[in-house]
Amino acid sequence: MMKALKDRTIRASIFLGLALIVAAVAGYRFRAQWVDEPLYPSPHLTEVRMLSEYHAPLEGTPMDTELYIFDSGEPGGTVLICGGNHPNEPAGYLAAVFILENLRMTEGRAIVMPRMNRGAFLHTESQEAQLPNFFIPTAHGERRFRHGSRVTNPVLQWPDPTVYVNPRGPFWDEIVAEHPEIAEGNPGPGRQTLAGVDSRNVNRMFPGDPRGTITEQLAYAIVTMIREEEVDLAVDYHEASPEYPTNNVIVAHERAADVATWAELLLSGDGVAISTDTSAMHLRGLTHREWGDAYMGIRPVLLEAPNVAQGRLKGRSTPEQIVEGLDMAYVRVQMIQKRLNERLAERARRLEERGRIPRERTRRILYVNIPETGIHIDVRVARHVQTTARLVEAYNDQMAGPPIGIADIPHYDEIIENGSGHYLHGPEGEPPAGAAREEE
Amino acid sequence: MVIAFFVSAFAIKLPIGIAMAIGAIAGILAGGHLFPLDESIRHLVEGMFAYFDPILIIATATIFMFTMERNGLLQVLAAWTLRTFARAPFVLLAAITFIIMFPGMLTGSSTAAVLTTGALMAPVLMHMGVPREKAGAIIAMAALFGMAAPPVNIPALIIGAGVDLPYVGLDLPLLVLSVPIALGTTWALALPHVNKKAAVETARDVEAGPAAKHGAKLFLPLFVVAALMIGERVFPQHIQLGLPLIFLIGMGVALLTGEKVSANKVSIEAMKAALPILGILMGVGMFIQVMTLTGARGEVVIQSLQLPRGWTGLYPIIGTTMPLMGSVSSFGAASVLGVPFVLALPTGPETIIMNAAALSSIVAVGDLMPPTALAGIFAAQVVGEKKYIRVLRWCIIPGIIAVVQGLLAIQFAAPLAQYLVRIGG
Repeated sequence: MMKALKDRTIRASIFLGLALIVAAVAGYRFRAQWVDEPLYPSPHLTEVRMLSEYHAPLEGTPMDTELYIFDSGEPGGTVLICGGNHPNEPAGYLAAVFILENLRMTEGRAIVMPRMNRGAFLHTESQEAQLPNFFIPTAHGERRFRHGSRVTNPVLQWPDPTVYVNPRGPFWDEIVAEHPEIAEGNPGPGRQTLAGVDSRNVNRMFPGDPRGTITEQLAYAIVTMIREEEVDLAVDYHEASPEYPTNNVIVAHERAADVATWAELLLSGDGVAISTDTSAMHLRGLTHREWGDAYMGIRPVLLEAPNVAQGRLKGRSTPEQIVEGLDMAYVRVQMIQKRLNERLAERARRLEERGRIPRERTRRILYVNIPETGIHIDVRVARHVQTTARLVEAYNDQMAGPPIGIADIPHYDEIIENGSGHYLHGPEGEPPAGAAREEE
Repeated sequence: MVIAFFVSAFAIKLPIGIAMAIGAIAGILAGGHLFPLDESIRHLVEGMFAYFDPILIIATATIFMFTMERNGLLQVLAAWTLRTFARAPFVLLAAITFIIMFPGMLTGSSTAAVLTTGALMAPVLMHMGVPREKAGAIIAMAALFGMAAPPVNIPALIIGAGVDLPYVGLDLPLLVLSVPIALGTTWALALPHVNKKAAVETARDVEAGPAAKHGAKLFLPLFVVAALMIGERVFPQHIQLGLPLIFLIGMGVALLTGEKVSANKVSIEAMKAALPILGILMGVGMFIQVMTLTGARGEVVIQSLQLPRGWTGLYPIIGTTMPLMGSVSSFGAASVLGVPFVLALPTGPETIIMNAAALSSIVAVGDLMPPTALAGIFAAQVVGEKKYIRVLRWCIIPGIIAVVQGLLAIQFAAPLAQYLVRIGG
């Protein structure tokens, strides 16, 4: 008996020891995600603020995030440029960093917020088998960027409720009192039932809640900043899986629809095919909807570009998937889609010959054409950057508000030709950023 | 991965959870993802953590259930229910079905339903003369249909989130797809064993046990847990305790309101009972993470989308892959397969809601699929059946009917949506 007990004790001790080793190794890996990679703003940066200046309880928390302000010193409007709303959408983050490291303002000012949900950069998403980083070659060596999650790290906000009902926020009633016309056909923010995990998705909870969860407080702080800084135009960078119907698109609040449509026209001249969707009033909590419903002066838009690394059909997780946008699984799905549609057409023809109505004529599995060379992150970043430039131009052309002048942003063709890394900066006199990879 | 799992589970006879972990490690090796070693370890741990919340729910719900059993509540409730309703078994069975479904309807979790009201109703069913394994099947199926019923159907929420579909208009379709089949299943399984005369005699003989002396306060834990669950739904901005804490509060109340129970002892016993399934969930988490890492998960989805709509194409694929993938996680299947499937079906505003409801009802059947078979395993546990397969075999026909019903709802989604989907309000 004693011997058996001893054996069991030894066996249990061995497994416990193994579990501790595994926990230590994994803990070290997870902790590495908590270190912010350095960013190198352009020399025209005038001020760095923290978002907590607009909602003090965020101060000192991992959710507090930097606002990089570029003030031209000339009168004009304010443009807000955001990345990292969903840190698992790498081109969204990289495009904001790209703007941050190159921007010069000639009229008005810009506020760049590259890590909107900083708490979602701190982990990778369970069961998505994400690679935790991606690397961009630059003149200063390879730079590492984190590939985070769609939602805030549960270490910061846990547990999720069974269902999440997003907040109404404190702004709507005040807006409706002053501008009753906004409530026509518009149910206003909040009270929408969502999956529990969306309680950590900042892009489902605007305009936020000052006394809510830490992610709701983040949303509230952003909307407060928009109102206090009187932002005129706001651009929120995202990516979407190729099977998601809203892709290669500008989603615009109805107040921004004219600007977006004009920008779409200008982009066609650049060879950038994009379409404009109007923000749905029944789908609440998103930037393009709630920013516009919380502050009457703003024209908010959200941009989507295709990203194979976040799709449900993706093949094995590789660095190429993120950076080169290359995944042969998606290329194969395109061929499958083509064959399936040929079969459907043939079946429909036969049924119609027999006087019957076919159930299905065509099927779209993918909403984006994925070339065999992939959709490189340079292309996705270039789309976002060029769309931003054209949105500002359209805003000025339409005299939608006080003028905004941006400069030193490379053209789409230049970014494609030279790569986005060509325009990214690094520390002078310090080892190239690629050294960070060796340390891992 | 699959071979390593089967060899470990059935040839070497390792526990299913360990076999899943070995399958995951085999996938890492075969996919060439072993190095860097710390990264492959990270994947295993990260995959495991997908089930952190369900593990806490199961652990605390099991402790709650064991406490209710030890403090005498289950026996008193069984005796009271039988004496009150013995003359109307048809109505009693309907009431039992709704009682079992209720926690599932509120929480979206079949496990919560089985381990709470399922455990309460198990002795009632068996005292009525329903054989042990059929009683388990009734509990498993009612819990599963409770999970699929409104107001909270988590797979439907997950599918909706994937296609920007607000959780509106789903209540009636979900109700129609869950309540009639739940009642039909209970009656079909139980009525052949129940007759009024025997039930009345049994009711007379059933002893409430020593806990009866505690009177109405014995029922307090049930009211507290129900009130907190309802409170979370009705006042989501004010009450956000989470199921694990609700069950622990319920356990705390149960310790004070019935026969004396040692919290330490009952917790250890409950954890011993729950540990195998917790191990399976951790193994499954690793397995899915590595399937995604190697591209196997994507391949499953791609293979599922290749056929035209109809009974000789997409529908059988939906009817098999969703429950099968639900065997590892019905919530995971809703996200990974449910979203592409709903996009592969007609997407008119009302039709898509009907299809999402139908898909979510099909995916719920996954909770019966081994190796996890959450509803089946816990239902076997609450009726005291050692081999859960004996319970599951009585679930096969209702499970198939549920899947076929879901597929018929997809086939006739457009006309059904006209009557069942209301999105104006």
